[in-house]
Amino acid sequence: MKKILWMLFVSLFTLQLSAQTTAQGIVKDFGTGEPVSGVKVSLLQQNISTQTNASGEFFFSYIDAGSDEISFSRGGYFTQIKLVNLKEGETNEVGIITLRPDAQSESKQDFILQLSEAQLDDDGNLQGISGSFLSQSDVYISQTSYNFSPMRFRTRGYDNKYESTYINGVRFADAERGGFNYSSLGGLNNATRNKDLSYGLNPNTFSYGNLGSNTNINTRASIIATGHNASGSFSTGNYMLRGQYTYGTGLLPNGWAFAVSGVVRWAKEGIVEGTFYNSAGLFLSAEKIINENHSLSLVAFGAPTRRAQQGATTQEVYWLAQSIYYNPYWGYQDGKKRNSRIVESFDPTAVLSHDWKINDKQRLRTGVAFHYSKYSNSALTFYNAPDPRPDYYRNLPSAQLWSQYNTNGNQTGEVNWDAYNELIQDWTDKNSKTTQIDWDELYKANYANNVDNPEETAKYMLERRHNDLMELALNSTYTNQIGKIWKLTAGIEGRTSKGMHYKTIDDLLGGKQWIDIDQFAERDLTGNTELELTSRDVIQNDLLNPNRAVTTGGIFGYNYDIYVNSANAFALSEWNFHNLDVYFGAKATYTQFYRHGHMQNGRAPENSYGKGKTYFFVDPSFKGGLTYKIDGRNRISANIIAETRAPLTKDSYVSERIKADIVGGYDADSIYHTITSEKILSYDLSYTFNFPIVRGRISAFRTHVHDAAEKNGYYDDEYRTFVNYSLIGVNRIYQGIEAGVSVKLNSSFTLSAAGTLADYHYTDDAFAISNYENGTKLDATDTVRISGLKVNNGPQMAGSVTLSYSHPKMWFADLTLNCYGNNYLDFSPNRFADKNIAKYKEAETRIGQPAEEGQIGIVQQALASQEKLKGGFMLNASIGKVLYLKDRKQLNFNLSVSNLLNNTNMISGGYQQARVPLKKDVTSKEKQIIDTENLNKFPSKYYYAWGFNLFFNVGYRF
Amino acid sequence: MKTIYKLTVILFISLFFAGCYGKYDALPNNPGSFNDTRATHTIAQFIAEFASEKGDFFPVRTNSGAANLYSVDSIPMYGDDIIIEGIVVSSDTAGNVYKSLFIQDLEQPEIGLKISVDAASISGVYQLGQKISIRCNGLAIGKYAEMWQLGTVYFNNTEELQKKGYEPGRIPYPMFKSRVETHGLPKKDAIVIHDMTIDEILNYPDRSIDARLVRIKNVYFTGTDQGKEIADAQKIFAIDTKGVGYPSSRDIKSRDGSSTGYISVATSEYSKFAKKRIPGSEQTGDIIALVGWYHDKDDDRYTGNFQLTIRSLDDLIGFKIQ
Repeated sequence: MKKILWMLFVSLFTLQLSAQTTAQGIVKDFGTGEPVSGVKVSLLQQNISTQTNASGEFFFSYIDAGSDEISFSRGGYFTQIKLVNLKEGETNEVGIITLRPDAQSESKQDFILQLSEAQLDDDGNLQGISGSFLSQSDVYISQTSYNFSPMRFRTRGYDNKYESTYINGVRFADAERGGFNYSSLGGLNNATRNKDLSYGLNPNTFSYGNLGSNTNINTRASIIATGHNASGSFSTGNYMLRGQYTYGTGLLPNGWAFAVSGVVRWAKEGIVEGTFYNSAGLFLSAEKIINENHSLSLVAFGAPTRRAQQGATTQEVYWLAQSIYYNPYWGYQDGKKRNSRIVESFDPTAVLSHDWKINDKQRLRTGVAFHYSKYSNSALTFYNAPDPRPDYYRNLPSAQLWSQYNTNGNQTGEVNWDAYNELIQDWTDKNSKTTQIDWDELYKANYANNVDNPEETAKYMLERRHNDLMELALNSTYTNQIGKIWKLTAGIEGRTSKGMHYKTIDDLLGGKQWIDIDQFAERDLTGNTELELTSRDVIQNDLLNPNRAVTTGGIFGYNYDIYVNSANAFALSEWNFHNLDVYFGAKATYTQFYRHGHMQNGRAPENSYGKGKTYFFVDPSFKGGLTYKIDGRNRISANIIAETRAPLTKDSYVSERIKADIVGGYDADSIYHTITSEKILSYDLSYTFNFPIVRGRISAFRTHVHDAAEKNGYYDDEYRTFVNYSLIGVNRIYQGIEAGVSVKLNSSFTLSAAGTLADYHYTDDAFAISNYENGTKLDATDTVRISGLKVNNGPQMAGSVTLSYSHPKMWFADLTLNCYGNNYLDFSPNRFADKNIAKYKEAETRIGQPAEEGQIGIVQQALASQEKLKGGFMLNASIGKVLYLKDRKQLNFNLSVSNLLNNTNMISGGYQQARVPLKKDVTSKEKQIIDTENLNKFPSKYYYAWGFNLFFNVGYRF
Repeated sequence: MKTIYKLTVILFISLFFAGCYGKYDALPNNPGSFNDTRATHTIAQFIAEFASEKGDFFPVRTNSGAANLYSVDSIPMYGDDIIIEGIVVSSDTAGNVYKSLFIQDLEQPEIGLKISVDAASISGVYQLGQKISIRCNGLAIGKYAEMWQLGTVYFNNTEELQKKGYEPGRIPYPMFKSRVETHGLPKKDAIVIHDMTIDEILNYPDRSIDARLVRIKNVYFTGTDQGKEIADAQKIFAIDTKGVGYPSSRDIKSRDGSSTGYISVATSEYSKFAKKRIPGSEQTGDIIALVGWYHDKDDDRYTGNFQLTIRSLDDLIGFKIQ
């Protein structure tokens, strides 16, 4: 150790004595000849990077002399690598570098974004997308971000909240859900293409860093390519047509730069039945370079979107419909397809940022962002009327088989095959009154009800569930290159947000009004339930406005706000020695939140109205790491982080729609459990190599998460209520290896391969609290036996090989083979609860097939095991051509095809239904026991990855 | 700047377009006419033609014994349409009728029929007073505990051996929907309520009284369950059966002596008014109810009994319910 320190001291000393070695140059667009800003310029062997400024200039100080490779990369351009020979103590002039626009990868990127948008969950969050697009320098990331999206792959298995996205230096993260919602960018791909990305725990230039990727989207006007860029696309995916136009002025002589971008996306019907898509986005950016030291940028964008959703359904229904694109959410109304689940979203956003170059070494970047997210989706609801869902389990042919077979599948009864066949025939004939939503019937029911009960609640209606969010965020980051060796980054972040959650009536479907009571409470609280009906109060959703008649647009059901405030400060110190880079940092975060209810709910009159209790958390974080540069071409790096994190509000309330109670309860030993900050320990080790022909990386990582909280929600058809199922004390591990390698076969062909073999699982059992929103059952605690179950976050094994071809005359083509495996279906914790496991054991004994000690019996196996989804292969291809026209105009074509072989057997996701099949115990009558003849009554629901689909794009730059 | 201006205009146009897309006009209210008819059979004709004493599916439920308390006759799937029609006289809104509809024949309103459908809250679509017609091809008619009902062929494959066997089952909802038509909007006035005394019901000579909507005037709740005194705490419409699922019987008698016998009002524990106390025996009023019959066991000691089903508390007229 002493020796090393001595060496460090000597090298430090000698370097300080000599004159500085520097390098500089300018980057221009091959087509237009305009300077290109925001280009990441790296000295590959020294592991040093910088970015070009608005004039396309870059400058390296404190570099080592000798021969090196200098790489230039930016989204939308081909990466260029140039050999340089840096002379000691001189300012090395690299000259003018021209970058060729890479329209090919832009189109491919847009295509992938579209594929990923198919995975928008009910809350509108893009689950399958990480910010990590187009990092040309890392083979693994560029391979995986392109190719694995259709299978909901997540790098390292991390949730959104373990990745960070910044826009012009301000962090964008939903305070309630913890992650960045990619769809809030509204398809403004051109304007948001420029990204600075760091992967894993590696330090980056704009933040302290998260566990997964850290992306800074740079949308300053000066960075948007100068000139006009228009494109038109045709796709067979979510949307059919897309038009996009971007204009950037570049840096004008007066120091201003402006940019504008617009995008329109449209489909009458996407690849999935009954889904339309309609979106228009506008982006405006202005920047003023005040002087050498100060620049100011304002960016505003938003994209109102209306689109229809797809629902997961059971294997039986997909089989009946003979299509993986079957969608239970639509039906014919007046001959037109009408979807019941329509999302409306609009995320107007403004970011004001200030960049202050205090001097050559110090820089202060500050940004303020205002973001108002309006998000809502509609859903059918009904009152004292039959369930309108076409895939309602009792209406399917399989219901005719119930109870006619024993646990082992032997027929013991008599099936009414005529009825069974008739029900199948409805699907074969595509009788839309059975196979889709029967809107006619819903209207008819309401019209009849208007005659019969003119003052009463409509039978059916479309409700709209709103989750709006208003937030203000500030980030300020200070960097100081104190000397050749030492660099300091420090920052503060503050954010405040108000989430507004309420329901409105979207369409009464011919009905007159809706009475704001909980119909299911009304039904069930009168029966043999734990809560007795003492008065009509309990069924009121708002005791302050009992039995209120609500009409279209009116608020009903629930109405509350969640306020979250947080602040953090960090400092990160980096030392770059000759062969060794070392860093460490620390961060402290303060978080507080509370709920404010606007309704006094009859099931929680004491704790639903007004301001709830404020909860706060203080969370420290420490990280550190080192990179050992074996030589210019081989590097080994290791990182570690230890931190705690406040729970997200979405996981913190027992039933946030109803009351302000925090998740917590007593276990069997009378020990109280409640939400706490989760504890994280994460470390990784990487080897990176960078030869002219072969480059790549191999990494191993492991992350321990302890005391996490999770929330599952489901509709319980038996109790006719929404059930909140909260888990606390959840311990998970994420570990694996990942590798990417790229081989330049000759001047035309490149072969890239990437793959990961990982394991994300729960390491311990967890504590559960269940809540029935209609109050039919009291909040109950249980232990869920989830130890060993896999984390459902995409395939845990994935690989891809790409052969790409590029012709000097600007022809491009590539072919990619992807394979996936170790993908696990989302399990329902309720099925793993002790309460249910006891029932499985009883059932096994009852049917004479008890499980041996320590073994899992036949019933438990059927009801409480996690499904491993089938793996498979997918072949993708693309071809493109760029044409340079007169006057530096440029035309490009690209055709991308996903799933060339139309593999329609790939389940990409879904979930296990929470409900367990029960029946009355014949002997005791009182007890509900497992219905061993119908173990598969509530099968899992799935989504399939799309089959063959294509994307054709024509772009024109002028 | 011009470009930006143009672009903004284009965007506003597309925003307008986006905003309107996916909005729907309400469907027109075209209920058709109450007078439309497509019936081929009255309910009585239908039962006479298609229901046999023993049915054509065996074995029926074991308890049925020689008395044929259960039977299932399938109705031909193909051939001529077999259509009955009637007006809906039941409602499950109060939870006392479950997964079934009672209809009343339009020509012979004294004849009714229970239709068993596997859809909870089916009254939400087929409401009180709604005229409907049902194409019965491919369904089944049979006796359930000796009361006729329209359903499907169903094998009750239960561990309770006395209940194992064929019985008329619930019609899967899609099968029902493909056979039913509504005619006009609900017309409650068109429902005929038959005034009868308790003794008239008790002494009715055949089963054609079942599913009839009746009004019995001047009655009181005796506070007994098929003659047996009910403990005061249990004098509610239905007690919790702890999952067994039978309805509670609450006897009524004539106040003016026009009848001597009692008849039971049977209420499900799942009805919304199950926990309400029955009116005290000092109260007198009229009661409207659907006549039901339950004869489950072929046993000399047990000859079956009438069960009156009230659709909601509105069917108790002149009584005060707390």
